[in-house]
Amino acid sequence: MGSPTETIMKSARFLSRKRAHRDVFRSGDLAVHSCAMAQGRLMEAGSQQLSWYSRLHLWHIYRAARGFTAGLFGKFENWYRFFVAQIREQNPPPSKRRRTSTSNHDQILRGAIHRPEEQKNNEPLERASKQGLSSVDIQHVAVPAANHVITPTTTIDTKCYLPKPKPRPKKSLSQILLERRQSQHRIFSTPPPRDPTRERNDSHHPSSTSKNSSHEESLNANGFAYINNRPSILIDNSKIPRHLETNGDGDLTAPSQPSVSVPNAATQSNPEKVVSTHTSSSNLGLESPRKSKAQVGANNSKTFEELQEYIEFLHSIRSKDGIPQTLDYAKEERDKIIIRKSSKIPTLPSSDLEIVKKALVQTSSKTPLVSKFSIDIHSRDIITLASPNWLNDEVVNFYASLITDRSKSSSDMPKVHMFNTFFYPTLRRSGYKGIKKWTKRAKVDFMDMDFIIVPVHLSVHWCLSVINFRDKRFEYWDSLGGGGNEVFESLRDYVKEESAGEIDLSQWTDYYPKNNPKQNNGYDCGVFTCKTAECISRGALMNFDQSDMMNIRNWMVKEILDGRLQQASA
Amino acid sequence: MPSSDAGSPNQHHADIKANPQPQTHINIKDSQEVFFKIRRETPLKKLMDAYHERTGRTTGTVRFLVDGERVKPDDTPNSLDMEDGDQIEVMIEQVGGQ
Repeated sequence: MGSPTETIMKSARFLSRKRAHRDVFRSGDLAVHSCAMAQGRLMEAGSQQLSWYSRLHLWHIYRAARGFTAGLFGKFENWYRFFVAQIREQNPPPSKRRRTSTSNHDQILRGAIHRPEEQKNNEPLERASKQGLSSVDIQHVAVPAANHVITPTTTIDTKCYLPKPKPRPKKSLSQILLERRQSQHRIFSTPPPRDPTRERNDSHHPSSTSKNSSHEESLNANGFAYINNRPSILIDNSKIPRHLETNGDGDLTAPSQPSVSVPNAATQSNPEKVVSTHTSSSNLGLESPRKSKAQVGANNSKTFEELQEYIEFLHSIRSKDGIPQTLDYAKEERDKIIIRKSSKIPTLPSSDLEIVKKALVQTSSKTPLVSKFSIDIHSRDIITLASPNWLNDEVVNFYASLITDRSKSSSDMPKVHMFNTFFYPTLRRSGYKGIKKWTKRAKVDFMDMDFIIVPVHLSVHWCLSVINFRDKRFEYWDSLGGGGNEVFESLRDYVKEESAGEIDLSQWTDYYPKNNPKQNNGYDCGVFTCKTAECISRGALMNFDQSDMMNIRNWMVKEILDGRLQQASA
Repeated sequence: MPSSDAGSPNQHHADIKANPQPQTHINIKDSQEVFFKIRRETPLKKLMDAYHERTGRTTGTVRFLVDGERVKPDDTPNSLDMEDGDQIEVMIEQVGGQ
């Protein structure tokens, strides 16, 4: 490995090449490896001064990492922040390097790393907010000079008084509603930015629909509107009814001093002129509301366009070879109830817990603890079930055999066969001919199955793939949230060969659940894999999450020692 | 048969020929593909031990599979219903947690 900078550049180049196929970011193993690599390099390079160009690439890595392992690499994020802060301190970028490109990416980059001008302008606001002043106390808000003349001492007949956010006056609900209705005459709001996917049904213009209920909701009880998630108020002077100007009530009572005064000339000559004051010290705070409003619209449509582009791109990838697409949003909505916590996994009885604890003490005994399904479970195998150990293949394979065994022995269970962990590597390595005898040897009637479960081992990670004959789809369950395109391809080929073309695969879809139980550490994936397989094998919803892991580990020890699955079917 | 598994370092082959005729010859193809000829009544433990000895891998770190089924030490080609040219695959232990 070369110098840290060099390595970062290398991994960044790798990642940005992969950005061309954004779908790749869903494939778990690559993701995990890239993130881990980026994390390591970042830590190494923490003290190095990097060029502006390298920083750009760092951002690539960072975005890639955040994109799919949100939360997992929390440390990474801290490192990144620390790193960026250091760079900013040591090495302020020259302003001539500032890019004029307005791509989304560059905007974020600029916003995250480099905005000396905005910071300068925000100083009054920041100082004010540090001193704990509310927005109405800020006297020296610098309204852009091109549009307005600051005349703090002038008294003007069209004053606008900002409501004090705190303390909230105690009022009855009807009073609040009345005020809100009244306030709509003068305060026109832009709703908080919406989910771009919904935007397409939302064709009406924001300011033209003061009667719209959704816009009513975007005003809070104090009459604050939100632009781009930042509280702001837009005031259209021409629309202020005369009687409200002098007759401020409760919420809108004039504070001791006016905060922002609108110059006479501006308001009278140009009734459409609006004034905004932002309470946050954001960098948008000093732009004219017109501009910010336009920006909001532009941003939304931009992200929406990007999203559409992305979806089309995914479609184009998936639709090759006639593979149907999985981006069925309605279906995803249905699948959101994957986790059902109502039927909680019971805690292990204390008598069993003693046995489990005893079994989890390492012994050097050569005699196996359990010997079933041709698998000998030794102490060194069962010890992998003690948290936070990584599970080894013996445990996963034994558990797989338990699952298959339970399905065979009870008639009301779905017909399930779970292959061992060597199925997938063999299939990858030698293709169908490597495993064509496996079902025969295991006496599996391939065409009669409900689920065929294939554990997938990705060098340091366990996850699961399922051939779901009921729903006619290939599933990929990864507790890290990865996607398994390679797995899907392999299994598709396998089913095609195994069924000798009897199964029409053109109707089969690839599926990766979005909200399956996820691990938030670096050692529980084996348990997630086994438990997910167990839930699938009885056709049940997942009834566990990270908090159940200790309990499930204990249960697994007990079940392996007993040689049968304990838990009642849900 | 030689396989193209150069890219996967944690899987090796030991191709073990189970010959119907009683044979005592052991053919070693190379360090990773080992050809044996054994009697149909001989426990496969003998082959496993030979493999361990040859590769230096200790018991418990490799798994022997015939068509996906684990091979027990006292299995014989007869009990596993193996045919001539069948393979015993040797898989290296897998662990995972991330």
